[in-house]
Amino acid sequence: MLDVERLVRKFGAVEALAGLDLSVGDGESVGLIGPNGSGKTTLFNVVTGVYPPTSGNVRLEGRDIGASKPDRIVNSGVARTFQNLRIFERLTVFENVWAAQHRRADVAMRELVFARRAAEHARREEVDGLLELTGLANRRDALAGGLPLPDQRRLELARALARRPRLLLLDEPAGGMTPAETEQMVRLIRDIAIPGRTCIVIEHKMEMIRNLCDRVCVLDFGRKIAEGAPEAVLRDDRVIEAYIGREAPADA
Amino acid sequence: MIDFVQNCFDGVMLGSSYALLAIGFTLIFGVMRRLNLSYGPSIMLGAFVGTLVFLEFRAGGLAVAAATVVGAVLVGIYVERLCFWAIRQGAAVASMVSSFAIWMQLEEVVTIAFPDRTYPFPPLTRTEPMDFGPFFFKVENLIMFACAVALTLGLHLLLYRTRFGLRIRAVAENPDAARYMGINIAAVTFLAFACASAIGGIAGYLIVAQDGQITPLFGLWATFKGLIAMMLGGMGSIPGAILGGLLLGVVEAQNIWYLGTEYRDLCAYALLFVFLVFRPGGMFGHTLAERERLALRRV
Repeated sequence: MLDVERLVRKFGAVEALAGLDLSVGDGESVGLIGPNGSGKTTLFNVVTGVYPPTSGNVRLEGRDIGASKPDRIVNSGVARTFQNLRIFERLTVFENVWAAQHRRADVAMRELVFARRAAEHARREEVDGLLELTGLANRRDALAGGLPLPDQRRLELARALARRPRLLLLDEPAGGMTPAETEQMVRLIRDIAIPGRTCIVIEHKMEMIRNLCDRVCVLDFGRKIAEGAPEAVLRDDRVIEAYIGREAPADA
Repeated sequence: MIDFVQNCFDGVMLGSSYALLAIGFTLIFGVMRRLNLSYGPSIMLGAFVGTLVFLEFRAGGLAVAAATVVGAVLVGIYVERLCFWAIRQGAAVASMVSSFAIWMQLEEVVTIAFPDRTYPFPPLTRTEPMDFGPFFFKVENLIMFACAVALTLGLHLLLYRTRFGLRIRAVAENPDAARYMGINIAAVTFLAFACASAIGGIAGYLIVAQDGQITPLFGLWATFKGLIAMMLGGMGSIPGAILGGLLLGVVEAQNIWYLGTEYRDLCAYALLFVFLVFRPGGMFGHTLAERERLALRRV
């Protein structure tokens, strides 16, 4: 699904990614952990085309996407959520998801000519279905900017899912949540986000990684320092040192 | 009292044309967060296309109107490609300055192509004013008001009932997020610009038809009226543009009646100044805190 080879991304003299290798298979869900500044979000930004790689390769389903612009990439089956939320605050919850909905090029022409109303109706139903799944149905017509943080995070998830992604990138989906809210988010991701697609999750909450991911990959200073099954990796000395040595795993 | 009420009616109708100009401005500003100063001149050029059709082919009102709108949209697209598409993100000042340069360019083109400066423009109608009790209304004013209401409603439906409108609002709200949602920002911007130009073209036709003549100065006039009305209402807000236009119209109409025509524009600038000092965000604009937050997010 996603192949990253010797990926380097520099900001001035700082190497945010310093030759990262990462390979994520079809349908796999991979956790990405590491101290702040280890390059996790930068990886998401490079994969979604925000920054071009300084050097190295990024391939999505075998195609090189290193030089592609974000709009190209998000239209080829990649969706993401943001650690700092980017919802449309002055649009309603429904409109947020509706705006994100994937355009299906194969039916567009037929829709335009014949079943326009029916197709639009089906799309609206799909949006309502997603709101139902993410527990936002009762906030459907509220302005998104006024929602509490956990609802906004779930809205971002619903919006990303509306893109019908094959690769879903979740950047701290439970950031700033209480343990109860986190648990709800874990269930949500496990039940509706992971099945049938490839996921990469950035998270500081180890419990979450254990619950969600087949494999975990630890970044430090823009490099991969450990990789493997969550249970094994989270006991690894280098991982513990990377976290405990400079900074304890933040629970916020 | 009757005078005052009559002035209010006149002002609302005059203001409805300002409102249309301001809606075009605000639509562009809302989507791009940039000011298009050559909005008025592109409408002016459209009106000259209308005049050309009128003079060359002795065309009737509808053909002239169509020519004006098409002309305004084509020039609008030219402006969009040159100032806004070519000069991309993060260069708001460069865009504004280049829209000013294009304004000058458009005026030059018109002056060369139409050396007599003042040209006739077919009137909307020659019907006599209508009386309603102590008040009277000019028919072309009523038509202008009706067109403004219809266009505003149409735009509202477009923005709030269609997917294209949703995309416009999404881009206006958070272009960054919109890009991640697979929305083609360049395409949305282009079409929003074309829409704004079409609205401007219709407004321009109605105003110029009422004057019965067109000069290259119309560009300056339209930019200033639209800009002031938009600022009064709050940049980027459509209800604000409507209210700002109407307020400007009413204040001008009262002013013309009580002080005389020569003070008309002075009072428009005075009104703008009062707003800039006491309510810089306009009637419907963001509060200062909200704007700072928006600005931060766009960095």
